[in-house]
Amino acid sequence: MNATPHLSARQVIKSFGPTQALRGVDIDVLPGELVAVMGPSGSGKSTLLHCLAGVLIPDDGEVWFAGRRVDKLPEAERSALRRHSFGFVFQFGQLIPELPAVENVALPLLLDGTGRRGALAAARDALERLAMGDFAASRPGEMSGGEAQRIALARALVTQPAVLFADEPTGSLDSLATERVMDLLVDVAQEDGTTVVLVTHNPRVAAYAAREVVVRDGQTTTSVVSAS
Amino acid sequence: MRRSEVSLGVRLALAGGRSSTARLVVTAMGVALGVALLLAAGATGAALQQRDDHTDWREPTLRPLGASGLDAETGSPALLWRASLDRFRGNEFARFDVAALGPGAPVPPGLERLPGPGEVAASPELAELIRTTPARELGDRYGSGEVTAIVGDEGLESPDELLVIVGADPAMLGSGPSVDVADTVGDEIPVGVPVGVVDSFERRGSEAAPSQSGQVLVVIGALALLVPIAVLVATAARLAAAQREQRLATLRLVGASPAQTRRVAAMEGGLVGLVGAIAGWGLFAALQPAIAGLPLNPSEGTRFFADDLWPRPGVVALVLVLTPLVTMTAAVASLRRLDISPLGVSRRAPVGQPSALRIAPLVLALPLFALAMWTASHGEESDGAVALIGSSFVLVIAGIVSAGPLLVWAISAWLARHARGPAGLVAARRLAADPRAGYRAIGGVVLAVFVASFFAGIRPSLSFEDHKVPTARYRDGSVAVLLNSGADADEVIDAVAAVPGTGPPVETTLVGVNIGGQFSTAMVASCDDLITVLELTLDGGCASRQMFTPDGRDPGPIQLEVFDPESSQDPTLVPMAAPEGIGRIEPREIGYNELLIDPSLLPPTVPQYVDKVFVPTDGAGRTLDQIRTAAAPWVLGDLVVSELESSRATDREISQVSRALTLAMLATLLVAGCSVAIAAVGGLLERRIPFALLRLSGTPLRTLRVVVMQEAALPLLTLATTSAVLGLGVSWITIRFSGGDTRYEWPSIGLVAVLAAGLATTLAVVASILPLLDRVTRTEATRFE
Repeated sequence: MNATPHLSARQVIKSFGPTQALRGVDIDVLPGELVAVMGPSGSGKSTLLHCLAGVLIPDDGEVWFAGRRVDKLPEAERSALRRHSFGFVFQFGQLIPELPAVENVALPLLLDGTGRRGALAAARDALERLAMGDFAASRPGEMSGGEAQRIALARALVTQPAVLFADEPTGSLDSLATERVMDLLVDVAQEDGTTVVLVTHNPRVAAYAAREVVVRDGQTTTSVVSAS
Repeated sequence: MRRSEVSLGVRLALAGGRSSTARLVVTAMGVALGVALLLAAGATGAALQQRDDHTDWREPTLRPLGASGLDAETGSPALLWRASLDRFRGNEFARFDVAALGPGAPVPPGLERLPGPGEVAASPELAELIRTTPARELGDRYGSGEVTAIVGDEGLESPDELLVIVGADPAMLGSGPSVDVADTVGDEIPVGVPVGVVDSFERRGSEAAPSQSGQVLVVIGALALLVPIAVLVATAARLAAAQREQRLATLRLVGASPAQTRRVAAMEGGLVGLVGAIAGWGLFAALQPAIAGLPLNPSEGTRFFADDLWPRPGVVALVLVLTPLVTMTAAVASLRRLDISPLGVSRRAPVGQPSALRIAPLVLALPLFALAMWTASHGEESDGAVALIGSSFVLVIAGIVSAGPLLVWAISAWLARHARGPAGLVAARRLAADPRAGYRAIGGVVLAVFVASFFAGIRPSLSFEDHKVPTARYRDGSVAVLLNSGADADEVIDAVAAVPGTGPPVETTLVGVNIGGQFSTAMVASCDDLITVLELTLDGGCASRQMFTPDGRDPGPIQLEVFDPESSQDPTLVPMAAPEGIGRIEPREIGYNELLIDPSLLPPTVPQYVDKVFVPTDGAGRTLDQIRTAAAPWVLGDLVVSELESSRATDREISQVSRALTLAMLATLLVAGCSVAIAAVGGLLERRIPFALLRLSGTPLRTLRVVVMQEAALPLLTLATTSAVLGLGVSWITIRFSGGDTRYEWPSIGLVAVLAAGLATTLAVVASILPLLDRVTRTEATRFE
């Protein structure tokens, strides 16, 4: 593992109206590391993830990825970064209900200009890799929550991103489905050497991570190495 | 735009699932309905143009017979031509008398050859009437009465049209007054229908008939329809915007730039527009035969030829291209108010209470419109005055659009204060949250109601104006035969007196008079005879008075003008005997002549030419047509007139206007109603999750139904009523400030009923979507994927 941080935040401050969500957060994530960001509801952990991914721009502070100042990049470049280097898995709502699974997975490639045939082939490979090949033609509404999350995971990984951001990826799943999704996520990330930032309030999910960062009242309070 | 973006847009628009298919179908149907109506308007315009092309030949370039008369023209490839009007059972139609001057004479479109002397060519409808009607009522007017040729479609303005082309002998037709000498008596009555020479029926290019009132009506109608259609298309394109916004947010999450999402949304919107436009073309094509059966032709309310009722290819292409552009623009414009971040819709343009200043344009526009009307009626006629009226009227419409959201907000505030149940409260809060969206849904109906009630308010007053000046009124059943110059009055009188159902004819003559150096005309007739056929407002009746003047006073010595028909010299003046007893008469009751003089006052040396013969009849249409047929050898059909026919013609015209108005009102309300329904469906789909959660937590479906209905009905009814009152108010201003003594007439209860029925239909359309509420709020709708 390289000691130079792959992704880092320095004194990040972010407010929504009068509510200060982040109050000077510092975090470093090493390449290939799986970091769990923990904290109670409303502590600012999702906001931190969004700032790290360039989805939200901090009011103050710096966000760095692979030597680039993410918070200073123009919108188009941040979009490109999300297309090429980042993958996302959220709790729900990130699949397009009208599209079958294979097209949902192919979306990042299509947006990046990959031809339809090539994009769909890559998407099928990604689905196969997660043992979801049989669901290629199914629409999100026809799947269980766990199956939909695995499709979302396939889409997040189809571009072979450098960093995977997962925000409560198992928040709406039962324990069995949670276990399946997390096993896949960890396995694939380790195989590809993908850095994973995992936001969760569930200690069992956090236990999959190599390191836990706890956020409380908009600040990182502790960073501990997972026992597992 | 990249191919992948195009294909993604296409995929998102067409990708399946029942709900997305339903959304696509509803959207495309809304667009299709608008497109079909536009194409129908375009087809009507094209049909009017075709109608003009079909009838262009009826106004050929006429030249007078040369100085050397008929002999010099004989043998030339031309024809003698006389155009006049005839009537049968009150229906007016064209009659053309033609006589070939030589071989190669031009032939009107629709005929293979020119009818020879004694031959008659008729339109199919008139030929059928001639065949089935006793000859003494119709057929005998045209010589033999036998139809020898049928005029084809290319010479007719409508399949229902009545038209006759009568072949004549050149010598006989040429004996009539030529185009250069024909004149009129008074302002309107032709004494002889001019005969001219026609060399060709070719189109006259730049001299072609100018745009007709019918076309103007269609253009106004199409423009009046355009606003609600545009609203409909835009509303349809915005259907289920929330779901689209969610999809676009997902695209942003996986790396789409804002420009990419706009392009994908544009592609998606454009494709829906294209599908709708093609479906609209299909809908129009399917309905075209039914539309062709409607009496849309403004002339006499007849039908168009079905083949003519197709829009021009250019118009079709324009509609097919513009519609996707409109939906594309609407889709992109709806994103303008949103900032779609990868996490969803992060910002909406601020909504909430609209500024009170929104009422200002309307408050300014109404007095400005009144001022414009007053200025126009009290000053010189000018383009500036007309422009001021037009622009202040547009400002009134803009004022309604501007004030609409404020009114919706005011209604929602009222409802929120007075709501007794959760349904009213939810509906009120939803309206208050975005009053502009609430108004946008019903804006089409509001404007349609304003325009319709404006015309409904104007129309009765205009027809009242038509009748406010009483002209000569015939007693019930009386018929006037206006004699052509040269017609032998005795022969005409004998012929019409022999018709069953007639009384003793009354003849009147016309004479020029000089009163103190002022020249005028006088009607010469016995007062006692005249009151048997005309309604005259005489103080004290005829009472042995020999002369009647406008003020009832003796105007002093009167000299009569005596013309020598053989000389072109000025008339000689002959003194008239002093009358015994003078009464008062309204000049307009005796055809705007200055005096009514008893024949006994005229010296025997003054020649008298009978200009009218009044015939009392039993009032039957059959009798009138027999008189017309009996007088036909000397008098053209249109010169036999009756009060009954004139008022029937006016009634028909009024009923046509009313019918057109009713159709326009219903069409605009239908389109606007569809917009409301589509907006309601959109609102429903957007809130399916909260509605489903409410239902899941025990809210009865009935309550949700009331929410949907209240959201649509309350602003709709309030604003429609307001705009109806405004429309009537603006029509009142138009009549009241337009000068003159026209009284304002309130619209008939029938028109108000049509308006109310239109609004009720609109609400029924909204109610028709309620079953959807049950389906979209079932428990499974609470799932987020």
